[in-house]
Amino acid sequence: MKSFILRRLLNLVPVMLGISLAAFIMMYVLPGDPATLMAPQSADERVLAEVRAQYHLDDPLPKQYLNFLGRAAHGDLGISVQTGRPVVRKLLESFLPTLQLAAGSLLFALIVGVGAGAVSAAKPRSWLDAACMLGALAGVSLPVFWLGMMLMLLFAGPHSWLAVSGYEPLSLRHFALPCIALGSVTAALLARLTRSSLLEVLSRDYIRTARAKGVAEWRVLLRHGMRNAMLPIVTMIGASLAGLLSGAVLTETVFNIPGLGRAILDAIGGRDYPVVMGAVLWLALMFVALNLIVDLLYAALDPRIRYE
Amino acid sequence: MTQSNMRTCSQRLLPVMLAVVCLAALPACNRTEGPPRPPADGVYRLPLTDGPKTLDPARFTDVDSEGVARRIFSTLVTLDAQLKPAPDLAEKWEVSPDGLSYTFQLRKGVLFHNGRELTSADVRYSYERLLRKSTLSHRGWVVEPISGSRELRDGTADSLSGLETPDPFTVRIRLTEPFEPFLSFLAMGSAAIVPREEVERPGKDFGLNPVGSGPFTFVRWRENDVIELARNEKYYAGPAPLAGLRFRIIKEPLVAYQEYLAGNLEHCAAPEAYLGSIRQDPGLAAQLKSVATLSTYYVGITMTHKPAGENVHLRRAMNYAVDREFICNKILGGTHVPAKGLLPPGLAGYDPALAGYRYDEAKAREELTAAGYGPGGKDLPEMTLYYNSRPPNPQVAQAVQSDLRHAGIPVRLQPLELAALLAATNKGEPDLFRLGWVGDFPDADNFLFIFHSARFGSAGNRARYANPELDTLLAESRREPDAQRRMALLRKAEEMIVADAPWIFLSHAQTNLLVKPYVSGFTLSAMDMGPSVNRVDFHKVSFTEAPRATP
Repeated sequence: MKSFILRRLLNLVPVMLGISLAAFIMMYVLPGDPATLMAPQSADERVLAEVRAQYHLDDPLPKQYLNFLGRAAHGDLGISVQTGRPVVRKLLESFLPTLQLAAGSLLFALIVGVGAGAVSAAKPRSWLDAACMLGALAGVSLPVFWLGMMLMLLFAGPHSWLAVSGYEPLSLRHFALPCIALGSVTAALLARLTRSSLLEVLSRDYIRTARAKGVAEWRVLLRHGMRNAMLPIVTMIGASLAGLLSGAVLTETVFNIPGLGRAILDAIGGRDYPVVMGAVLWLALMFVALNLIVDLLYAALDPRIRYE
Repeated sequence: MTQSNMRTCSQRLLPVMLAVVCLAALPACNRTEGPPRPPADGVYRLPLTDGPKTLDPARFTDVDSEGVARRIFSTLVTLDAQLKPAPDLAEKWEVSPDGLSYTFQLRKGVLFHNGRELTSADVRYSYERLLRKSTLSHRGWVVEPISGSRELRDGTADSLSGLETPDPFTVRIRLTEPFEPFLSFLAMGSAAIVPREEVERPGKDFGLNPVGSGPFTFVRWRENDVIELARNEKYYAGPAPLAGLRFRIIKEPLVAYQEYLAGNLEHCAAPEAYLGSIRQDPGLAAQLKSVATLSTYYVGITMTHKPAGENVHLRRAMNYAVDREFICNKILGGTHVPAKGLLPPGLAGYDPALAGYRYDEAKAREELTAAGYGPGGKDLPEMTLYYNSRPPNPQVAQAVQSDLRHAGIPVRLQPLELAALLAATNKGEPDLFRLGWVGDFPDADNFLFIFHSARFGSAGNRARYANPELDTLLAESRREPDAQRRMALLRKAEEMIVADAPWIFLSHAQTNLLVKPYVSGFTLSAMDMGPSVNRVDFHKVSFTEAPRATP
């Protein structure tokens, strides 16, 4: 197990190098000069040159990349071109709201998605099953930004307890609607996956044996069925969480949450290279870490799985 | 399907349908009832679109940063609602007859938010700071008219020789040459007076912890989210009626509009898409405030490119071929007004009698014939129009393309992100490009001088228009101390530019804001671009109890 974790962590080095190089090249292939966005509308070439020099944007590209790597190795991702603040601080500040949003969305998706999937599987071809699967179909089909706007229009208003938009740390009032909007797709996918996975498990011989032994139906479903159906669900939760952490741009924009997605979008628009590079590395790290955690969870769920 | 099957099916669907009906009925619980009430804490809440980058007056260049900083800092002079210079830190001033020397008398007893009295030494420090290389300011040009500014900027002098401080409350400034808009320069947010001890306080970024002498003091800033200011109880003109200001950074205008409707903002920009319905709703229509801003949106014609750059008749034909009314009313939803020339209405120097251009197909054909391409634009090569890919720019570009095509002028469209668009135009790459020019200070000079041949590219003359006669005229206007004669020169300069048509003059933007009925003292000016309302004097804004609804 230890050697497995070590191997995966060592793999991180080439992965991060590759990702940082790809992100660096992509940013510079994009047309546009950050200096033109930072300087006033009538800035002449002298001012633009000063701005470029100030942020070392006039250094040769390989030098810029190596400088970036050197600093990144020491935990310094540079200074934001737009605000002059340290990138690490900016990433941490904007990651907190995103983390809360992603965690809330995942919680919503788990409760609603796995719950609906389990109910569907327990009562296949009933009206409850039809309603759950109809809801799941709607969940995967509705665009997040549209759902967000609709939730805002329908449920947030002058006499509603729910906030229209904005951010307060750990506030249910502010996070309820965005979490529902963002979590709906994951909930829908989880519901469908849970249903199919559980139905398959429930048709196995050991379930029939359990029922024949007179085990209560809820116990059959949760203890024998659910645990064995969890493997694909856990895989999907891992992938979803990584997606929720990086792909919440639309929800963050609609609900005006100062999260990582919005920060990246602003940084790309403003050609804020240090922030884009820092954010890409940060997200890559998140993906790799989450995948590792999911792999380790397999062993906890299924004792037959061994890591050599 | 048999009857029993249908019944089973309807029984199955019933709960689902009920749920949908319940969901649809819920919004009824959210309707506003009764007149809106001011916030109990007395704090004015307003939206910002992008949010500030820094609150250090020497460093910011964007509208939102200036919008926040303007309330924290004071300047020597300010602009009144008619955009005329008015006293701020300087209670009076004198200008010498030759227009070269300005003597300002500072108010006594003005305190910075840290409690120290503001003196002429702070004015010197603030202006010199703008010019010093180490400050990395891009707004040094605000004080560049002062004699000795170049030497300080180049590092050949240690101080600004044209600025004297004979006593703690007198500032004497000598200019290199007469410059009428100088007072407007000093009223810009970048010319704010800052306390040296706070700027240079070790370990503290002044841009994040600003200390000024304005009507509001800085409280906190959560990036991309919120900025809070509190009333300055020791403000020289007395504490403001408002307890504070709360700026919320809301990127989406529709979200800001929802927050406004929910009673969480005191004003917001009226979204283009809703402007029609707002005007039809008597309640909301009464809350709508509009003002034409000092801005001109245009399609630039790169003068170094063939065929339009070398053919004035073709450029005029292009100006006559575009239906500005349609673009302003139908595409931009009434948020812009058509432009016939360069200067926006509301700016001193604007000439209502200027013929300029308006949509005229017959004249477009005439000019096209004079250009040598016949009335249908025979053999005219295709030109490429670069534009910002964010809405509503694509729709405007398409309308321009369609109008020009209709007149026989073929145009190809090239959408780009703003950064890429600016980079391309700075290099003179596109044949045509759509951009806007927003007034930095309320003087015709600001709009006309960007056509000077010394300002090619990023300095403003992106069309690369060169006319020695215009250069002479503009230089002369800057030296002219007599206001009327100067205005006549500037009007002549505008006529010259409009006749040469290096731009297709399209429109002037309007600011449309919804303001709650309980807000009083809120006066918009032509320099209020968007919801940050940089020129609104919040020291004069107050809340009044909303009128009772008539039974």
